[in-house]
Amino acid sequence: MLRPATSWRWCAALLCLALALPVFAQSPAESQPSDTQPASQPASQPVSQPATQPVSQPTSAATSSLPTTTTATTSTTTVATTQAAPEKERFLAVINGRVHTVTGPVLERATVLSRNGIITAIGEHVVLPPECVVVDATGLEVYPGLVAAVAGGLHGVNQPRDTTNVYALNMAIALAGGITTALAGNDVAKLTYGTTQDLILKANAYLNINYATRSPLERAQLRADLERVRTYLRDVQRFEREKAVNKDAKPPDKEWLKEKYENYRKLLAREVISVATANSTHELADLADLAQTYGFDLVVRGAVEGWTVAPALGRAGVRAVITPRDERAPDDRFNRPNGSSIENARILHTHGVTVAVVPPTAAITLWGLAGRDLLHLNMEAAFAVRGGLSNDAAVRTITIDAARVLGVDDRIGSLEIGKDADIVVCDGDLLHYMTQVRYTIVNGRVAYDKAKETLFAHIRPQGKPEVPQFDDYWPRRLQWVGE
Amino acid sequence: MTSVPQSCGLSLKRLARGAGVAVVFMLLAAPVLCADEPERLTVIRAGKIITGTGEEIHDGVIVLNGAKIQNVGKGLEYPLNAKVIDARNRVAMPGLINPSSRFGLSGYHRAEVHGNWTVADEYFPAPDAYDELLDAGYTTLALVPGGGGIPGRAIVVHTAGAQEQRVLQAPAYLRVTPDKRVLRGALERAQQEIEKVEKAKQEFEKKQEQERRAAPPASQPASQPGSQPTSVPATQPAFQPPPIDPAFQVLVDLIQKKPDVFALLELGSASDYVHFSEVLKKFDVAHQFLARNGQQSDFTFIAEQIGAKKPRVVLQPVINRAPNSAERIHVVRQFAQAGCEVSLMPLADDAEEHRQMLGRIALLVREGWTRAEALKAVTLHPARLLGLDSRLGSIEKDKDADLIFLDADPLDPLARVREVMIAGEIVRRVEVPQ
Repeated sequence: MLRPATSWRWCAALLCLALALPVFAQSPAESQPSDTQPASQPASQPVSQPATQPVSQPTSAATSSLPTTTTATTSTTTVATTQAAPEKERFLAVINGRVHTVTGPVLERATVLSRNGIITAIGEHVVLPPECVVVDATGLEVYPGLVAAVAGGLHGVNQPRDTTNVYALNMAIALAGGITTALAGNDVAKLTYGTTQDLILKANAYLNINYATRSPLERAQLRADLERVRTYLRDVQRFEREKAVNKDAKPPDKEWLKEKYENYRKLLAREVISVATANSTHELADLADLAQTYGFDLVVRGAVEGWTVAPALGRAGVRAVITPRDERAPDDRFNRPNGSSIENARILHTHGVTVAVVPPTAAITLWGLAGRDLLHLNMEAAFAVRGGLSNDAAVRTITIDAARVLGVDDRIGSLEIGKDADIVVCDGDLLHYMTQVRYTIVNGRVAYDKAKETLFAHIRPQGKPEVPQFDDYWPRRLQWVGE
Repeated sequence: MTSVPQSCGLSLKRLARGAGVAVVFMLLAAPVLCADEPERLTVIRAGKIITGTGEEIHDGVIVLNGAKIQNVGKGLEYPLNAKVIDARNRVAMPGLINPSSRFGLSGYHRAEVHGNWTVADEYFPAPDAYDELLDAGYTTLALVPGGGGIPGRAIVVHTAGAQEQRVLQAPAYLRVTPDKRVLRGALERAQQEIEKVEKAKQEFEKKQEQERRAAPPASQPASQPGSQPTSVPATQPAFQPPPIDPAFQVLVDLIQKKPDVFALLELGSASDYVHFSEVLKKFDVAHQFLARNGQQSDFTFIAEQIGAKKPRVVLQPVINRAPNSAERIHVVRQFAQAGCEVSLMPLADDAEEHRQMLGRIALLVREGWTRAEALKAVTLHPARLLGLDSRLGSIEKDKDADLIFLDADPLDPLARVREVMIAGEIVRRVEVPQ
C-alpha cells in the first residue's frame, strides 16, 4: 500500500530512530553512577551489592545517604539526554519539604525530583531541570503515596485498565486521603486521575486459595494437592541432577500438572502470591503451617486473632492485612487467649509479620459513619499506634509494607531513586487527626491539589489551625485561594 | 403566508401599475421579464432570512429552481413568470438537522461489532412517521443503529417527502458506543484482516515469481503435448484476496483511511474520551465525537484537551453543573471556545425535546454563547459532520431548498415553526390553535 515516497520517509524515520536509540538507552546507565547503585536498586533485591562495597549495608538505609554531588550529577545528566528522547520528558520536583523516605531517614528541607514518573534524585541540593513542574512543600511533610492493600470502588470493576473512570469522585476522594495505589479486583492499579497512562501496576496480583470458604475436607484436599506438587518439584530437581550422570533418566510425569495443579506449581515456585481470608486462631495456625511446610508466599486478610499465633505466622513469613479497630469478643469457653486485641498490629509486627492496615470499610463511602472508609486510611494506621505500634512502623503499614503485601514493593511504597514518583504532601504528621493532604502526586503528575479541588479546599486553606470565616455557605467561594 | 401563485402574480401586476408603492418594492425584489427563460422559478420573499452562515438578511429573497436554491439575497432580480411566495411575516432559516437519533425505530439489543449493519435494514417509515419532528422544524435526521458495542452504520434521511427520495446518505458514519474494549478489539481484528490479505498477496506474488522462473524452460518436449495444458496460461491470473469478515470491512476501511467514512465515538463521560484517546493513539482513524453532556457533566474536564484537536463534537443543549458542585457551567460554550465545531442533538430522543430545541438554544445564548454559533449548531455544523454541507445546512446558492418558516425569530420563546419545506416543496403546515 505504501507509495515509494512514503516508504522512503519511513526508512528515514527508522534510521533516525536507530540513531537516537543508543543515546536513549545509554541515559539510565549514565544517570546512575556505580556508587549510587544500592540506592537505585529496588528493595526486592537486597543482596545485589557491587563488589566495591566493603560492608553490605541494608539497601533501605542507602537511599538518602546519597552524597548530594552525585544527586546533582544525576539531574544534569538527565537534562543532557533530553534532546535525544523521542517524547517530551516530564519533570516534577517536590521542593523544600520534610521528606520521609520510609525505608531511610527523614530529610529536612529536601527535594524529590522525578523524571517521566520515576524518582531520579532525592537530596538537599538537587539541581532542577528547566520546564520542571515544581511543588513547593516548604513547611510541609512529604511521604510516599499511601497504598490500600484492599480496596473497592476506586477503579472499574471488570478489567480496570479499560473501565476505570479516571475523573470519578471516588478516585478524587481517595487521592485526597493520600492513596495513590490500590488493589482493583485482582490487579494493583494506580489512581491516575485524568489519564490512563501507567494505570495498572501489576496484573493478577494474587492466587486466591479460597481458604475461608473451604470445608475441612476441602482444606485437607488443598494440603494433599500441595504435597503432590511439592513431590513433583522435588522429582524434577532429582531428574536435573541425575540427567548429568544417567542418560536413561526420565523426567517425572507432568500430564496431570494442569489447572489448579499448575497454579499450585506457580505458588510453590514463588511465581505468585496467594491470598486467604482467615480470622480465628486455628485457621491462622493451619495456614501458617501450610506456608511454612510448603514454602510459599501467603497474605492473610483479617487475622483478627493473629496476635495469638504471631510467632508461627512470623516464622512462616506470612503477610497480614488487618484492621486494628476490628473487634471480636473473646469466648471464655476456650482455655486460651482469643478474641480481638488493639495490640494485634504491634504483636504481629514484633514477630516479623509484614502488616498492612486497611480501614473497616475498604472503599469510599458517602453514607453512614465517617472515618471508617478509605479516606481515613492514615487514621486506621493511627489506631495501630494506639495499640502500641511505633509511629514509623505504623506509617510502613500503609506504605512500604502494604506494597509488600501486594508484591509491588520494588516499584512503590517508599521514596527511593528508581521507584515510581507517588508522593503525598501533607500539612502535618501523616498519622495526626488534623493532618490534611495538600498534594497527591501519582506517576510524577499532580493528581490532587487541595486548593483546586472543591472537596476540602475550604478547611484550613493555609494549613493553619484557625477556621476561616465565610460570608456565605453555598456555593463555596474559593477567592481566598492563593491569598 | 400566501402561496397561491395566481393571486400573488396578480397582486404584483397590480403593484407594478401603482408606481408609488412599487418603487419601494422594486428596491427589495425586482421582477424582470426574460422571454427566453423557459423554466419557472419560485421566489420566496421573507421578512428575515437566517442563512445559517452567520448572515441575516431582512426583507430578502430566496430564489428556488425546483429543489435547489438558485440565489439568495436582497433586491434580487427574478423573471416575471416566477411563482412568488409572500412570506414577509415569516423568518426563513435552514431546516434543522439532528445528527444522531433513533426516532421512530424500535429498541435493539446488540453488542460487539456489526460494521456491516446499517439502519437501512430497519428503516420502513410510515409516511407520517416524522410529522412531529417536522412540526419541530427538523428536516433531516441521521438515524443510528441501536445497541451497544459497534452496532453499525447510520443513514441520513429527510423527515418527509416521497418515500424513495427520503434517504440522503446510506450508509453514513459508523456508530461507536462508549466501550473501549470493543473499539480496540475491533480495530485489532481489522488490522489482522489487513495483514491476512497482505500476507496472501505476498504469497501469491512469490508463487507467481516461482512460476515465472520455472516458465523459461517451458519449451515442452513434444512427446507430451497435452499433459500440461495450463502450465503457461495466456494471461496472468489475478490476485484473489481472501475474504474479509464483512462485520470488520468498515473498520478496515477506516484504518486504510478510505474517504467518506468516519467513526462517531460516543462519550458517556469524560473518562471515555481518555480511554478512546489511548486507542486512537494506536489506530489513527477518522473520527468525531458525541458527548452526552445531558447525562454526565464532567465533560468540562476534557474541554481543553479535546478542543486542541479541533474535532466536530455533538453535544446536548443544557447548562451543566460542575461535577460535585453547585456551580453552573456552560460546557457547550467551553467546547466551542476550545476549538470544537459543536453540533447539538436533542436532550432526549422524543418529539417534545425536538420541539424544545430552539428554546434550549435560546437558553444557551442567554448564558453567553453567540447567536450565530448556536444557530449553526443545529444547521450547518451537523451538515458538515455528516459530510452533506454541499447540500444542506444553510441557505446558499446551489444547496437543497430545505427551509423552515417561523412566525418570529427562532430564539424568541414565542416562535413557532409554521411551514416546512423540503426540496422546494412545502411538506408541512403547522396549525396554530386560536
